Amino acid sequence: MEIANRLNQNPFIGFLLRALSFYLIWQIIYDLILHPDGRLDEFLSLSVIYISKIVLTFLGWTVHTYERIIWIEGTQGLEIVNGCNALKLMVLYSGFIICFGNEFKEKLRFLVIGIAMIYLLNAIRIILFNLAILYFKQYWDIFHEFSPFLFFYPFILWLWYKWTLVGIKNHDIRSFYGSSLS
Amino acid sequence: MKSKVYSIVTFALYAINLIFAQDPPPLPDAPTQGPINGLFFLVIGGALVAMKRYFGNSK
Repeated sequence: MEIANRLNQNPFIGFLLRALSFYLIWQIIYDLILHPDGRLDEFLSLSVIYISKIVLTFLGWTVHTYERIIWIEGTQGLEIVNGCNALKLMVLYSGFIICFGNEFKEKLRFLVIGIAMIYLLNAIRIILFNLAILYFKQYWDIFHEFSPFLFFYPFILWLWYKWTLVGIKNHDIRSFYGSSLS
Repeated sequence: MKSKVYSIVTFALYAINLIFAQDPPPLPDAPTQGPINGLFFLVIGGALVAMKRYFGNSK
């Protein structure tokens, strides 16, 4: 009761607790099931490589792939390891959308569009990585280091911001959480 | 006698091998590039976005 009252007074803490629980549960599921299974990571990495190869080949470069490695002829390979397949970002993004707001249909729409866009941005990122290795190899480190800030973070923050505007029907956010928690 | 010499030689070879065994050649270093970085900044950004909605719009 005490906790409910405190959350009632400060819905932001409630949101943080929900988000924390979401990521903890996700991490347990990932560590115990998804990572040992490996198929989800494999799918994300290989499909991004496949898309990148199609696009680069279509644009005229000769591209080779070997398992999770992709390279334009004459350059070193680029390996898409688990951490590079944007799964963490998709989960981080989804966590915010799921834990904030109460509009189910809109929530579903934001989830599908957001995850699809993150996937697409990652494919574009991998394509540009290959071109960076080919043409701007000396700037590769900088490009790699700052690529998430260029490709993902502004987009995700923008989507989160849009979601905070439409995610809760009741415009008085405090009264919504107050009524739902009491 | 002969088998004793063989045993001594075998043991000596084994001991010398053990004593002078070289470390394995160094393995390549970890790649300089890690996975997607800076997630911390995204988390902070998300918290700020939520805070803005929770605290900035409550009447």
